[in-house]
Amino acid sequence: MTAVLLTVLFCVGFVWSVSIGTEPIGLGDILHGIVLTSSSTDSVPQLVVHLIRLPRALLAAMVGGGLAVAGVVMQSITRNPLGAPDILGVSAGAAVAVALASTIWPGLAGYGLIVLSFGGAALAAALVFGLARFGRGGLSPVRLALAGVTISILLFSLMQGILIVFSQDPSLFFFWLVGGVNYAEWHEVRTAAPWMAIGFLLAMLLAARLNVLALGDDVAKGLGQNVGLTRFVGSISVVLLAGAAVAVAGPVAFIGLIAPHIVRRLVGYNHFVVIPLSLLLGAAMFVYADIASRFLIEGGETPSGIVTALLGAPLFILLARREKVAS
Amino acid sequence: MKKRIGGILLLLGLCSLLVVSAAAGASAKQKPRAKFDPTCGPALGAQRTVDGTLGSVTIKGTPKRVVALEFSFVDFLSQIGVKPVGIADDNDSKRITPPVLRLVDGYTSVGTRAAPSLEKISSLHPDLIIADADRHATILRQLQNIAPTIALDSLKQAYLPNLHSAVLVGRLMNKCGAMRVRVAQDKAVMARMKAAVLKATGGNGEKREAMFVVTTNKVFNVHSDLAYTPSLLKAIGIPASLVVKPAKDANPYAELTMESLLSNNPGIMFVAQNPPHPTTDENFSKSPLWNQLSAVKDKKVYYVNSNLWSKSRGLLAGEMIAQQAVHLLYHKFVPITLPKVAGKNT
Repeated sequence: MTAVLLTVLFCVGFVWSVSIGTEPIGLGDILHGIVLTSSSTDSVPQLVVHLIRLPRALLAAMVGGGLAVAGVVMQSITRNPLGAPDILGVSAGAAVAVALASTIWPGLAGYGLIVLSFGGAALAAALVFGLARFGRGGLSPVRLALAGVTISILLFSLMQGILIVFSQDPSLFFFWLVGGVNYAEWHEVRTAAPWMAIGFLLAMLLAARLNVLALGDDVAKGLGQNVGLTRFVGSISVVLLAGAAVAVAGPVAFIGLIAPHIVRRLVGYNHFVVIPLSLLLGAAMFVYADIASRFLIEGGETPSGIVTALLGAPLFILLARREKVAS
Repeated sequence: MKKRIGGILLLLGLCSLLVVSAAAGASAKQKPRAKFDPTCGPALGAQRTVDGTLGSVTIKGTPKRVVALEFSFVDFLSQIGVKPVGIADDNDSKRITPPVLRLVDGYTSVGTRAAPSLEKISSLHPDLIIADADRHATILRQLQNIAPTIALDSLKQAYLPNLHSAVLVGRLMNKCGAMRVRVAQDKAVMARMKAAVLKATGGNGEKREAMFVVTTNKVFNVHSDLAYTPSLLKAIGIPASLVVKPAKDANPYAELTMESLLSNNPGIMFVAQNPPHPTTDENFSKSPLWNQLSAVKDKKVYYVNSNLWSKSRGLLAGEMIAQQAVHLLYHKFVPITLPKVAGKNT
């Protein structure tokens, strides 16, 4: 039932996203524009739908869904309710790599940029885990979250430093820093899609192991699971999903944290269900956030990430409060 | 009964207060306003108080060591023969328009305009700092601790408020007359540009709307008619394609996508690219929709220098922008020769 509702929610959002814009376009042209396979038509409305609105909606869905799945996997492998690419430094790592590439290594685009983004994400993740393990006490959830927040702040400062020193006009770059899919193009959809698909498949392959891991490291080990391997493959999945999302849309906040929590509340803890439904909900959330962002400023664009941050923060506080009452 | 009398007395008292204050207000209105002094007069005195956007500053004598934190202020100073000792040049002297740079060469860089180095400014021992009322509002206090500081309009300001800032810079430097002459010359040059536009369009005036856009690899940042360059073009008779309702805190810039650009459909486009490439306009131009734009169909897309067109906002710089626009659009070269203008050139 939840699956059907989420699917409907997503589909309505997707169609809504494709049907609004500065040019009023009829339903016929919208449908034609969606099914158009190449840009061979001369009809401007159809081209607008096909070349501008469709990749924008698709990319929003991919980024939202990708971040949500990355959030599920992170929360499971770290056994930490605060696990999310934007909290544990993974998004910040990818963002620094992208900022560096755009300012110091201009001309790098497409696959090169995405691979660099993976590198940044992986490095940041390694740094956070290293920092959290450092010293006595081992890898407690609080230590991990603290390490993540610390590294995130450090990396974001580093990135702002890079932008101020190397960018021609830093103020113009801050638009990207918030994150958004306002300038989505087909080539971005094409570059990010395969990596995100691999990341999603890896997450699904891990579903059974994540279910066992939820019972605790000792139980998982007792049942013969190689916990280290699970964490390693899970990290690869997170790096692929979050790295690709940041490379094409910037560091979008809160979806990776919120979507998995909402889904778990709705359907429980079975990862075979939680992962695909988080994908759907994350996708729907960012598609709606992107729609809302278009109404913020008349005649101009606002980065869609502003909306996720604006809505995400109170939603998170609500979730955290409920959690406390329940426990 | 006593209470009622007390109430009436109180009411009467309030009424009389109202009458008195209204009379006071009326007398204040009748008081003649200080007349606008075209000859600078007392402004030339040893001590002057000049009203900036964020408060006034009192200057004694003529400042000798000036630090300018925006390119427009550098331009103004250069036009009245003043060399600033320090400039926030974004650590790149090439960002200063070449003819202006020639006039101010030998200055010391104090870092970026966005975050100038207070230490470097302080080490220059300035006796006047000219800051931007928008960009430097948050560090105004620190700047004032170093030297008398005035915050004037530059960033996010249109052509006319910038001219006003020029006049104020003239007063600050004890060169009020010289600056008035220079501003009058600017208006004369712009009138010449406007006449050239009118002539080139057969007396009909330019009907196409021009868009000025700054692009990076992330954004397509369009300047509206509230921003400097489009308002300057409007002043010489080239209408702006993106019009924003003037309001307090209205953002003069807007990010457009290919779709909103298509809806706006400007007849003329001036594009200032900021590397790294590919910039958004280069990405847009790969789309078949780009060819649907009137400006593209008519081959009226012009690539202009981002330092001059989007960062300078000065007197000479503004005249150069107008000159380039007229040259690009109508193939007419209007020289920037400063006409003789009556007035004290001091």
